[in-house]
Amino acid sequence: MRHLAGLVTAVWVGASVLGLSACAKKVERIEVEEVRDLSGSWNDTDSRLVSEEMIRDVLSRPWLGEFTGKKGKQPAVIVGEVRNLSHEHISIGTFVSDMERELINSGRVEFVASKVERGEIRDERADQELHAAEETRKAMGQELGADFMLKGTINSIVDTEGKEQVRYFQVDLTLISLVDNRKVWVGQKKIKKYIKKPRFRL
Amino acid sequence: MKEMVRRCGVAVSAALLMQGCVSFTHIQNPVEDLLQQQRPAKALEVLERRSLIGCDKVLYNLDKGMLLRMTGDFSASNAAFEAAKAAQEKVEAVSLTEQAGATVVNDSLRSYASPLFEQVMLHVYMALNFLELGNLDGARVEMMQVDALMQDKGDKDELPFARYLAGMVFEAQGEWSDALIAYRKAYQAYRAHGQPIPDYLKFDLLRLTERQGLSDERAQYEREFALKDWPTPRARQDAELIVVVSNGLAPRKHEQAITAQDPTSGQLHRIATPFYEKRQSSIEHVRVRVDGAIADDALMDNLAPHAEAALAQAMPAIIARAIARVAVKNKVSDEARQKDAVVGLITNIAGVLTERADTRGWYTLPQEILLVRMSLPPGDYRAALELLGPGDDVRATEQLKEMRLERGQWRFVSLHWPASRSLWRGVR
Repeated sequence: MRHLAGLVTAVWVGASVLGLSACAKKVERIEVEEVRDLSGSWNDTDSRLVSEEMIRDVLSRPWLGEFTGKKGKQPAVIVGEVRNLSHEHISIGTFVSDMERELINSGRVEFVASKVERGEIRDERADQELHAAEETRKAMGQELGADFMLKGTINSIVDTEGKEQVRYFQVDLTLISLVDNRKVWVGQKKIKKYIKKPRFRL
Repeated sequence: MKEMVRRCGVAVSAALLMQGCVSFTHIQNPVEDLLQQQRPAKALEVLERRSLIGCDKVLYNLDKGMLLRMTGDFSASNAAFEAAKAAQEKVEAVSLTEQAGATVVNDSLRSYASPLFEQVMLHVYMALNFLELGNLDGARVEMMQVDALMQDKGDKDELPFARYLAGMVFEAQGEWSDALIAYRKAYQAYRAHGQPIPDYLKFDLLRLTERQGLSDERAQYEREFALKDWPTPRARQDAELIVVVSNGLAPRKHEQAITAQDPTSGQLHRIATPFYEKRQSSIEHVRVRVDGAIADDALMDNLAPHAEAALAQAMPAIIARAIARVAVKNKVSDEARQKDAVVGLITNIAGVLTERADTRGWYTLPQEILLVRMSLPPGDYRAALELLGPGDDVRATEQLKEMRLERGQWRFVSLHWPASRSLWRGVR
């Protein structure tokens, strides 16, 4: 009995200690570039790598040289809707921001503010009409119209068998000419992740 | 004597401490009482005041998410539901310490892990939250997650309403092919469960098979449903108003126990298992009135059979663990009795007292889901939802918020009416 009682006590004490140690939160700063996959879900690394790779691809294709040669200026690009058709709640805002950053920093295209941003800027301009000094006032009707719109989708396929899962993400982007609806570039990037869930825990 | 009192104290304290997460059921009782009075905000206060026990993280967040959506805070509701999802993923791995505890004390020492039907309903309510927030893509993600969850399951495990909702979400975004696939799955699930096919689904199957040019399949549905005509909205000129009513409360688990005395040793043995009580909602039907037009409801799903089936599936393992516990507790009190008869008796009583059935469950779920669909021309509307008791007697009328319906828009509104009565004659 004493042995069994001791064992039960040990189980309880052990469980309490484990429980308490599990409650202690640990925070550690890591590099933004560091890849750390925790759940197998779409994460910041996927967003960054996909946007970098796809923008590198779009800027290396013939449409850019053709446009610059014909018009003698850099094309103005706007990022349109990127739809999340996957099975995960993906932060499309982060992905679009990553793409915008890559496009602007390339220095090879002009970049036009989004629909929401334009609305805010127009409100500010209208406000200036009333309140700003004439020499600092910005006139209406001077906006740069976009030549191309970048649109796309993020899709996924999930294959599960017991505790094992394969998650497949496919990002499709299309660059469309606003003059004549021509698709001048279609890009695709695929990511495949294998996830094995644990069978046991403490 | 002093030593004996100390031992008795330890045994009784242990018995009380080892009730484990059954305590969460006691939190749920006042929550449920307040829901019966249609006071979700107060119920949420009560739930949040209680300290959260680790093994009840899934349940706590499920209830919190449901109560938040009842109070109209759909974003916070989804945050709680996401927390429930994350907790569920963790508890799906078998805990060695919890298993040991369940073998020595009772099943409620194990972390609560939702059965499949609750997991699907979690996605359903998250999708309804997104739809209320006007985020169709968010709702679509939840429906895709249902699909991933159900990948290797049969029609019998399906919740027909989850598939029907997926069909509506896809159709609302003009994804006709995916919508038809989801409607077909809903149809197969209704058949597998032996439930009648709601008229709305019949019309959807006919409309979409016609749209997709699947004449053989449409003819088969026409024959089966004995329908020659079905409503076709004027090619997305109209808006679609969908009202989802979560009616009543899901069945509740109670404990049933057998206690017997060993005639030779005099030891008490007890086996406790859960069973479901049936409940009846005070509302039988709903209807929506908009500008003189009236639309009646359809029963889309009843959660009681799904809950009962899940428990039936889990019962062999519950019984096996209960029998194993009897053997362990018996051994402990036998050994104690050999040393000291009084301590042996107390150990035996403590073993009997700690033998409790795990009666936890997501009890803020409804008993059934009713749905009303209306096609309306674009415009501003004030709609009223009438809640009907037996004999179509109007028990209550809820005014829906004034809404502007745009051309081709699908507007989803969801409400809860938890008031219901227990059909079980036991003591709550």
